[in-house]
Amino acid sequence: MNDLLLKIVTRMNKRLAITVLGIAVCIMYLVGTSILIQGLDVGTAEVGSLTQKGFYIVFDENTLSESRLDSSEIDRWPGVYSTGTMLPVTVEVDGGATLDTFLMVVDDDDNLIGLGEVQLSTEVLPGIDLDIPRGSSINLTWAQGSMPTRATQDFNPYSSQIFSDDMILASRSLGEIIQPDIIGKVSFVILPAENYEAIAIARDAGYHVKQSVGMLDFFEQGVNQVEADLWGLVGISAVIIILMVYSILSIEIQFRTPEIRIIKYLGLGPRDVLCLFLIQAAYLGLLGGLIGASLGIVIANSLTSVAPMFGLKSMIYPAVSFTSLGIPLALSVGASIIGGFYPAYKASCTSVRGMREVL
Amino acid sequence: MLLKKEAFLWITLCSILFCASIPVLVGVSLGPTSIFSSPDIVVLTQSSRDTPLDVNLAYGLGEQDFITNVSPEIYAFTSTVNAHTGVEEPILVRGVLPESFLELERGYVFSGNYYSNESFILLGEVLSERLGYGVGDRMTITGSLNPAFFEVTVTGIYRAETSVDDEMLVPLDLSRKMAGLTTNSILSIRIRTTDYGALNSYLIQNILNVDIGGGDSGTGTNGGTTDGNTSYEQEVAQDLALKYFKPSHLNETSDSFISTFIQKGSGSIGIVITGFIVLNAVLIFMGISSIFLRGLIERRHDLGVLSAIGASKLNIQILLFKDILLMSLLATGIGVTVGVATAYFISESNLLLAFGHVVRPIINLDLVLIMVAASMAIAVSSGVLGTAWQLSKAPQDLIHGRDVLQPEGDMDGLVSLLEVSS
Repeated sequence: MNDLLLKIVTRMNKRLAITVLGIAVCIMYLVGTSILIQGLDVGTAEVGSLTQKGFYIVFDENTLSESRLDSSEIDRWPGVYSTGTMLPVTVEVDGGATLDTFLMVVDDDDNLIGLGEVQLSTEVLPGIDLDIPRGSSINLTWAQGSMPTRATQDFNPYSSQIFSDDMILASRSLGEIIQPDIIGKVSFVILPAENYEAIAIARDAGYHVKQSVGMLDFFEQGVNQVEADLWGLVGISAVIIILMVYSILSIEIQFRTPEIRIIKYLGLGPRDVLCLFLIQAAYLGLLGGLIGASLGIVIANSLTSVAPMFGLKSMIYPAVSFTSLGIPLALSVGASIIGGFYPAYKASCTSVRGMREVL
Repeated sequence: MLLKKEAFLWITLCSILFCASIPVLVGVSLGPTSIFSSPDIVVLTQSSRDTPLDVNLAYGLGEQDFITNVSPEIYAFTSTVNAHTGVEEPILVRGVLPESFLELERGYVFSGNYYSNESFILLGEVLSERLGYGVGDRMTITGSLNPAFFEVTVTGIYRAETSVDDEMLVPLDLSRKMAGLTTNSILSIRIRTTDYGALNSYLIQNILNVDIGGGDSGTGTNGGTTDGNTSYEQEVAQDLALKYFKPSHLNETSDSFISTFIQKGSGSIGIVITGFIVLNAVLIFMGISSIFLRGLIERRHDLGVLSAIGASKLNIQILLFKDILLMSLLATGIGVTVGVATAYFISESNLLLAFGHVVRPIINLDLVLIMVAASMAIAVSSGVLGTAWQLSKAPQDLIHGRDVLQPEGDMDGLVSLLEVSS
């Protein structure tokens, strides 16, 4: 009896071959598009690996000035790093005009951002854009209200390519006088790109970890956005696949009504018939899925290979992964079972009364 | 009607999915070019990274009679935290002279303001809503090609009702730092002109005479010789190629990152989108075919009766073709209407994003006509194919369902099944 059932499940004729082909086209669509999307991702990463990454900046709120990380936690991070603390302040120069800016306290002992040599005590170092003359007397007030703190400007103003030139650099002790809440806290941590361990710790802790060269983040996140859009479209298409498998298997079950009557006449119950046809639906789905997956890989590679012949530059490196193969294959089998359920149920209800006509 | 009405519902669903996806897919593929240009704007860009444009060229252009608007610009690609979700999102930062840019884009600041060419951070209306930042809010951004980080305060929100509503405008100096450019360097000049010929002549003359930086190599647009030869004119014309939306016209050896971004970006996305459209059409064809086939098989008895009482194959074919045509026409009509409405809804609700910009599905008469033609062609051809296959059976076989009982080799199958079971 097992031989009979196996033969029914694995039997192949022209109609079944067309059914498998139909499923294969659907899966070719899904696998092909998944590979192209994954390929866009790989291409972006490839371009990213060739570009300088600069350093990473770690913070915990939406903005640096609001961010407050625990210094004692940061001290346990491995490797080289620098830290900084930002405070919004109001500046009064020589008792005259006031302006709103940020006070930045930087601990850059390893000179990651070029401030390793700067030693400040009660003096401040304003940015060149603030246009504060050397020797000026400066009153600093925390933007959210505090007693003014006096400082002097005894250095030439700074000009940096790393951060804006409209802030005021100060020593940590001065910063803590203006806003005591920053004691034991820092706003951000600068990590060199090679400090993988600390970068991983920061990511695991749920902090924002940004590359200082934003173009890489821009493209990675941009591709992710495109990916999300296209997966949405693939999802819509999956509905059509279910519909198609349902239609094709309905036809197939209808064609095989005599065969169903025979096996029921031989003693199989409705539940056995239901299982039998569900297994066959899954088998057809798997077979169609495997053929479709192979065709999808070929189509995706062909499209990217042919594109340069039409003057299209591309950074797609077709990539086969568990996601691009596993999900469409699972969908193929799942959709086939869903699509095949109603026809299989109808088959299980087939009466054996017509047997005389069949034979 | 010979075909069941249930088939019509499924065909309509397929048509809706097809017609809703096409405007979105075309919108995604045109994204990169729409960021930098529009049909009436000429974009002058650097021809290589070593020969950046000089902002003085833009100032000079601004004084010409044939120039309506001119905007010197620097693009910086970075990311920032979405205040609503706390997730990083890509953002295009454009270094501009605010007044020139807003005049060119016919935009205006409706909340807050810009105070000078050096002191402003303006957010596009769509970006401001999506990221959750308003006037007075602070944002953290990093450099684009240059390692850097900045905390900026939003000074105003602008509206232009184009794709630039998804961007952040900053002073040229700040964007130079982000992009790692030297003083006076810019990446592009966007121009609206009343006389393209005069503009071309001006550019050929003035780029030759003005030292725009890095110009001693003797090659490239800005370092060309003064003989005004044809190849040089071609180079200038090439710099204007973006106007015509044909990225392939740009110099293939150019390492300008704008041209690279547009060529590679639009090329890559174009490949994916073309793949999607082709496979989408094949899938819809298969879906509709299977629906028609199923409908015809369910009606094969009626088809056999019609044939037996004297209807010729041609008569039945005409009858079925009328059904198919009517169904396809109605399904296409509903499909295009609902599909376009869905695309419009997607456009209005800013649901889809690509590279920090909302995807604007393309809805125009040309595309609607193409969709109608494609949808009709797919539906009718798949229906005709199924009809031809079904009508190849003899009438008596159709009436008795004998095509079901005794298709090729199936009796052998039944016999073999019985042999195994016995």
